[in-house]
Amino acid sequence: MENFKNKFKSALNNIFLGKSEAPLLLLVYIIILVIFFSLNNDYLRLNNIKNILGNLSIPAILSVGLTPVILSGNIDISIGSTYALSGIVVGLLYRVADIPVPVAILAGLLIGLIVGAINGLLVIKIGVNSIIATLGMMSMIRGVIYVIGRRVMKIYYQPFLNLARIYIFEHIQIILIYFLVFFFIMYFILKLTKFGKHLYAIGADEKIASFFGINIRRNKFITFLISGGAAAIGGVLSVSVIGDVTVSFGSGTLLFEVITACILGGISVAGGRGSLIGVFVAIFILGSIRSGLVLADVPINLRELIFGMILILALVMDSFRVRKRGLSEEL
Amino acid sequence: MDRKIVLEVKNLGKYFNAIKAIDGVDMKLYENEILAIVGDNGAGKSTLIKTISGVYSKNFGSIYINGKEAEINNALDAKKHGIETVYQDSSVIPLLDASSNIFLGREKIRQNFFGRLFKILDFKYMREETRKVLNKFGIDLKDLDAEVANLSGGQRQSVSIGRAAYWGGKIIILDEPTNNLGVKQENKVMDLIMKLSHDFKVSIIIITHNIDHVFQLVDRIVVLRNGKKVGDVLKKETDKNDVVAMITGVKNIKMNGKT
Repeated sequence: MENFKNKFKSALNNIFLGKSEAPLLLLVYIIILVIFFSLNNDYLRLNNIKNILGNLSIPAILSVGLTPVILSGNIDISIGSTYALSGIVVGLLYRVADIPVPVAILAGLLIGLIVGAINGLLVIKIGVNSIIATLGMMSMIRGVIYVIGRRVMKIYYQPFLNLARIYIFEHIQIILIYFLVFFFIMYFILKLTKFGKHLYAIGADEKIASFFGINIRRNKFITFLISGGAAAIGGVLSVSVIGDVTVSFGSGTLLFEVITACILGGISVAGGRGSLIGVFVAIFILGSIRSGLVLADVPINLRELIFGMILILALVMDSFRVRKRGLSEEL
Repeated sequence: MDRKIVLEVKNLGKYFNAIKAIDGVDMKLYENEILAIVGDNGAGKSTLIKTISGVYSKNFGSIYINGKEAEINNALDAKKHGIETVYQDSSVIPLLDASSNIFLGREKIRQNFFGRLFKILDFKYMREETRKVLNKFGIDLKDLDAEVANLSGGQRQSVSIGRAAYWGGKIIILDEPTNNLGVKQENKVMDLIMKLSHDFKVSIIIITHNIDHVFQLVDRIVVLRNGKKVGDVLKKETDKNDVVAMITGVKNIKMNGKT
């Protein structure tokens, strides 16, 4: 009983001292659910919940893959393009080159790793700032997509469609399972392994981390492989969900949703701070808001405006945290 | 004196383009002594110890550890030779907790199959060792999981000094250890340094601006000016005014009691 009281006290402390975002986010989440439910009672119906979970699963995979990159002090804004390119590659190889689907899928995933490796080389070996490097890659990949892509590539191959479309226990879409598995693996890596600890150290203070023998370059490189790989997985799964792929695949709000989930979830843009648990809750919050706005008949432009504001809000909250951290480092 | 020389630098030099930060410095460190390196800003104190601890690579001269010449090209080399350094900012990572800082780069892995496969951290071991080493310095942290940013300056220094002691540093270099601390914290850090010397039997080099601290703590004083050594005296053979005079250049070179 005493132990429980102490844990409760420390949780409250965490919320108000801003040390951990998750409890606060959880509170916000519950409030949001209540608001949207009152606007439209369909909101909490099983059908809609399945809808929300299905829609958030694939961007969630990208958010989890992006987290190590941001934690170690970088950013990867090419993930939307990588996601698209992987999908296009699968479509092309299968429909145009008649390559068997499993091989096409592997090629799609490999593309993600290759893009990640190029990002890594640009940022680490050549020393380009990661925003610029991944921005450049983003544009370049878009260009490649327009060059190699065909108008519409439909995939009728049932086993491939099953990859993302089957349901477990009748109600749980398998892409949700893929997300949860990936999430737990990444959580395990970040919290319990030497690699994870080193990423936090690098993000928090690269100079000191290198004094103590931590391999900055190799660790950062691996994070880009992870974000590229996750984007590719998302792209391939997305093609399976939609059933076809076109050159405009993956452009639009995907990138911003993914980044917003990370920042809102407490992953600081300054690096070294944040937990995947917060990202998890943020993913659900954003997915729920999106669904709630749709069910409340909010027009799409206003929806996108609201999401933009959420991102700005998350960035502002983060900047307060970074400022506080900068002050304490001076002490 | 037939005491063992644990560290010696001969004609050590480090230039930064046109700036001769240290320009041919000779210095010895004896076993179990506390040596102060003092000098004005720009005298070369920081450069000297950073060259010894591998942060900078020397341009010329040699470094000897226990009589044998040592190649020190990076921070890890220095650690391998038993040199541990505590920098001005404590060189702790404020966002991490005490035990993460003490084991930074040298984390203990769980010794089971999965542990070694995935390099899973042995948190229990590291926290216990952290508690033990901090206790040896008389520090009892209530919340070992707290970010060190939330600790007092003195507690942060104890983590840093504890780390140096824990990893078996035989030569421990403290770069302005009492900088930016309030008086009470300063005294705590001085106590830590005394404990370090008495309980851990290590050889200590301290860089400091604070002449009072020098005379409270050390056995011997080396004075640098403009990248060169201008003084090398036992504490008991000198006084504060003497030392200040050497720092500012008013007094001429005084080595081993001779002017």
